[in-house]
Amino acid sequence: MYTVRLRVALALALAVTGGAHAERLQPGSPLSGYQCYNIDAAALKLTPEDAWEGKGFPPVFKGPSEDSGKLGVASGPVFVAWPLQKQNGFVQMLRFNGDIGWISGSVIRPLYRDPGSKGGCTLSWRGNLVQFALDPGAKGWLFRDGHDIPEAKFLERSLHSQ
Amino acid sequence: MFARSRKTVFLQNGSPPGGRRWLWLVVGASGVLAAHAASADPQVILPQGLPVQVKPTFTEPGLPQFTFPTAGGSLLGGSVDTGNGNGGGDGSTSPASGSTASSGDAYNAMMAQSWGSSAASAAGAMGISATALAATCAMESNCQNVGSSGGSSATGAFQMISSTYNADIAGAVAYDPSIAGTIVSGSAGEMDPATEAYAASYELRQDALTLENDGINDPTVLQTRAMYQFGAGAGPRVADAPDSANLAELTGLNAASLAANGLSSSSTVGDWRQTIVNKLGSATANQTVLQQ
Repeated sequence: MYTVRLRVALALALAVTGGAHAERLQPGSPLSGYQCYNIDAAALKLTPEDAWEGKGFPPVFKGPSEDSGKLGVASGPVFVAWPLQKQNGFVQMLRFNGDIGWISGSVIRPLYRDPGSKGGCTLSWRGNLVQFALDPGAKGWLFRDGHDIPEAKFLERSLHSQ
Repeated sequence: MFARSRKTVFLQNGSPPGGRRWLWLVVGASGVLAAHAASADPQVILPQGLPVQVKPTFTEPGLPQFTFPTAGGSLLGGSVDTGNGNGGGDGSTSPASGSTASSGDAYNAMMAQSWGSSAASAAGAMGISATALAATCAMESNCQNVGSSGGSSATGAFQMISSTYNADIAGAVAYDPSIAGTIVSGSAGEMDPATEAYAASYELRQDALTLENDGINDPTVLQTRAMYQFGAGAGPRVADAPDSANLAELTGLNAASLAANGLSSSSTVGDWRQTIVNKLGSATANQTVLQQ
């Protein structure tokens, strides 16, 4: 009985304090166990304007539940543990800074890619950042047609003093 | 008195000893973990920028004369990424042979204007580096308070369009209400560089915070410029991609749109970064945006 109470107490304490720090991969650690996915704009009902403004991006959590505490959001790509590690509907992933987080499996998808190509990406470290290089034929786009950026907004912010 | 009353209530409720032990277990464990969390990541919080530097009017007898720096950005600037890859975003980009900017050019260009020091103060009030703000005006207008041009409605030293300006100046006032009395209100503020500096600083702050929320820590001018130019969806992708990545494959932009920035469908992220480095110099491009 005491053991059960102790476990519940620790769980409550974790909830109160926001949980332990996220596990972080140390720079230089092997990255071969991760692969590029992207957020699923269709499932999230995102428009290019939403994406431009950063609205509606899915949260990334410290553990495989919403109660574990939020690490931030994912704008894509999403570096998923490969093969996919699923728990409680969440998929384990790596953030740009090496933090290991969890994202709902219902809001991510494989990368779009040219027919016949393998797709995917290769990850590497650049200092403390996890950097991705798309494999031939793979697309980093959020939207299938590649129209991620509203042209008018992009042109408004094009260089004015070249 | 209050504590005693609460204790009395507990006892009157007849909580069993085990119940109280259970409560203290939760409180104790919370305290231990909270203390651990508090000690793990010590952070200096400077919501209003760095403290005012004391400049003695009367020197202490016997001490040598000391000249306080008046330019260079080191006081109001953040730290410079020295190329260790800790967020530089262009670790492999070297300054172009045709580079025209040195590290302090953007900052000096802004400070040379009559409104320069006010703009630097605005940057500090918004918690960003003055050098990072100077980079924006250097990129946009060579730090000249100009009207709109080239079919764009963007105006002022920071070349903001009205909708962006209005949203950002409102955000800036909400972030620091004390600035409300010092800014030019209404649309006239957009053409007042000292006022527009608050809006531009707030925009930079928001872009940098968005990158941090996405896991890119201590974002640099170059990384934040990717956010500004490619938006919150594609910006982090460009900020994180290697120099060799094809910009069109990454962003979906067509040739005509890329041409507006002097780029083509075969241009790489490194080519884009080089346009920024050419304008700002490598040190300014790799300056961190948020004050440390």
